[in-house]
Amino acid sequence: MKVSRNELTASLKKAFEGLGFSVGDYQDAAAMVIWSQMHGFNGLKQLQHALPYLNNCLCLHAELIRNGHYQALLNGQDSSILLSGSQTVRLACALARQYGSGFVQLDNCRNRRFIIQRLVSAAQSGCALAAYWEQGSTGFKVTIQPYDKQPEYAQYSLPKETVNQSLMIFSGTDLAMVEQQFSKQVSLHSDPQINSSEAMLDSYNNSLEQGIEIDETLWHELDNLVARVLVESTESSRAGAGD
Amino acid sequence: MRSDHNSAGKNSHPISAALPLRPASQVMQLDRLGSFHQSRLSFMRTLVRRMVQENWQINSTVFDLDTEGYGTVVYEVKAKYGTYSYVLFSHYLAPENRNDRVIADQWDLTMALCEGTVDTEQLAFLRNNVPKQEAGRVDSRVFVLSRGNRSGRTFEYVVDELAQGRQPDVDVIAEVGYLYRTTAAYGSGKLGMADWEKVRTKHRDFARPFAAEMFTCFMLRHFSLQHADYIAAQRAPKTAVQLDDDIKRYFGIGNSTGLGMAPFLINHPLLINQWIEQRETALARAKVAGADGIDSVILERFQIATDRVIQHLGEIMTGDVQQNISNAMVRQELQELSQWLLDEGASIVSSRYNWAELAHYAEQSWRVETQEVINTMLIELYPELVDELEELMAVDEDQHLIPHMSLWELRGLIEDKYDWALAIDFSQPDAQGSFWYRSQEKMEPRLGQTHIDMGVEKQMPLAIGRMVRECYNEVCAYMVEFPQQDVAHFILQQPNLSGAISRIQTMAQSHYGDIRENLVHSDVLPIHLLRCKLSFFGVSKFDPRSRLWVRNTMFQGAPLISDFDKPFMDDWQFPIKPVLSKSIDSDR
Repeated sequence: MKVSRNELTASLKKAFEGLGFSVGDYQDAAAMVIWSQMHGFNGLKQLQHALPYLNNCLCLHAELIRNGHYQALLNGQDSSILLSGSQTVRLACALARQYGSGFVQLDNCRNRRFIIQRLVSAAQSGCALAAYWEQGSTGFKVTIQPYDKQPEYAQYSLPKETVNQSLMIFSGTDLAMVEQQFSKQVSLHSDPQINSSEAMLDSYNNSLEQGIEIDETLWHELDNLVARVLVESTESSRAGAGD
Repeated sequence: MRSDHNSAGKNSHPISAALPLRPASQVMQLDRLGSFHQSRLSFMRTLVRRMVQENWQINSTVFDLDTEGYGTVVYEVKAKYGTYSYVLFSHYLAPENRNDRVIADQWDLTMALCEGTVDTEQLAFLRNNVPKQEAGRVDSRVFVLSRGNRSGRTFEYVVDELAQGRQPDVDVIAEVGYLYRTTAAYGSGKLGMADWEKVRTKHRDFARPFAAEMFTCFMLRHFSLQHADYIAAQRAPKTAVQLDDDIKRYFGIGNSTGLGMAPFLINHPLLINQWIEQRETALARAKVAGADGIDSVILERFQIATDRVIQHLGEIMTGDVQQNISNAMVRQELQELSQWLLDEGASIVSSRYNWAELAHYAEQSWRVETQEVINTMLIELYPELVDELEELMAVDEDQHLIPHMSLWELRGLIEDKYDWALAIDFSQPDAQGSFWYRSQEKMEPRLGQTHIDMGVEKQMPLAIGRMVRECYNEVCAYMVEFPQQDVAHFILQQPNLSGAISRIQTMAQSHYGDIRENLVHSDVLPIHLLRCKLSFFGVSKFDPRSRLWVRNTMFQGAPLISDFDKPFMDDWQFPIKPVLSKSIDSDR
């Protein structure tokens, strides 16, 4: 079935609220899923995989482990980027503002691809950003210029498989500075496979024009989560609507 | 009275020619927002201006109704930038099933506004889904889904009169003001429809807030008038007459608005700020335009407008005691104003009395409702200064957290911009005596009483004042240990406050900010929220049915489609009973 972006946003916000997310968290989480889906990154599929976990865990955020001069280490507490991604990127941006550049490593986190929307959002306040994570035998790198709407998304083949569950965020006032920071921390030797900005934009425009395809099972799962924030209707509660 | 008016402005404090916007502390009070009226910037007004100026062509391509008036109608709408279809289904509805609430599942009429022309296949799809409303699904070719119910008091009466060859009695119409009332107009992507961003970027004809929704209601009005004519002709082909055009213009569309609109206002603070800022800009421009004195032509128009409002308020029929008292008192104060204008017109012009002085006098002497009527009338006087602001009514609702802001600065922002919230004592039982929640019944928003009704643990986050207070307390406590820290580090400790901080930082940059009211107080009056939004829609004749919902009239007094190619005065604010020709009156 197809749904509109506004409709999906409303449903996701309430569903995340039903999972126990707070106001800022459910707004950010909904935005991450929608952006990912509309730009061709299968946000809804990622969410479908994450839901069983989200449904059975506490809403844990990132915890500050170490706070250096321009860098910080966070423990994601095995939680989802949907909960800890905003904190991480915001900390990186604050460090960049204070020191000219920033580096935040978030260990022990899930659903890292959702971070892209947070980078796009943070770039609108003038920050250049890069994110990097590894999964299996692939390295993922996302970069965005200050005020850009479209990030660059690149995948690299790694020499060996990894079980690393970390996410690195690099921040600065311009992308050259961020790339410099990045190259000090990460060495990538294969040619990147790049998702073009045009493809992302085409996917977005198509979703806007035609609606967003969603699996009916997931839609019903969301409905069930939404039901958690609804209050049983009684004769007396109808008085609260003006009857 | 005369000298009072003059002295009030001259002797109190000097009023500069370049008036600033009124302060948020004055404008954002809920009782004032709930006293707003339709203005030139209201969405119905801007829509009608656009349709007339661009001479939109609207014709029915399908008019397939049976003798009782049930069936399908499709109107093709040729606007400046595109073609659209307004599809309407008319159904039999037993009187006992007629319900205006969101929870209703059957209606007399159901409608959809679609992009382009509608082919047979799409019409069949719409016929299968539109009558179900929330229980159906549509697609992104549809902008708006709506429904309407007949007025039990007027529809049959009007049809009977027409069938017998008579025009209906205007006094009877005045009691209601419409033949149908709409109970919802869904847009912005609900139920699979096109997103607002698609409408805004692809369809310039409807690229203003709520333009498509307002158009849907305008078309319902058009159909309602056609429908009455049609059924009367079917019933009595030999004797039936058509409704007189002046009477047609006096018909609007009824509307019932409940609590669903209230969360919208709280959840779209930047949009509401934008609307209010444009309205206040219009008011400031009007005051500046008359800063060096008021010429006799403008003054005469103001006098006519004042008398018209007095008549309009006198013609409103409402069972609500408070509204009746309020209308009567506003009329009384406007009569004082009218008398003064009559007595002192010449000296007002010669003494270079100005609008700022009148507004100041009204603030000192008259009710908030009267003040806002006067402000609305002032805006009306200067279309050349006001109308361009209609293009500035849209804004992206995008709240951003500023992570590098120091906690000193954040605390200062709260103390400066949210002093009203910090002044509320939430330890008082009444201060948290209400809560807002969504019911399982169609997710209808409801207002519960704390400690009495179930569901407080699932309440919606609409208590902005309380949210700010909680955030402030946590910031202050954290600063004891980390006084030099920034917001990014604070939300690592208090992640659940990121939403509150985003809102505070974002709204602090806006001119008017949040609505200054504790929305969970036991005595909160949500009806003010509804009325504020409805005034921006452009409705008139507010008829509160409780503190939680209000009936009103849309497009009453507006031009008909057949008027689009005629000279247009754009002066249909505060509709009053038409004066009919003697021949029509004697027909009755």
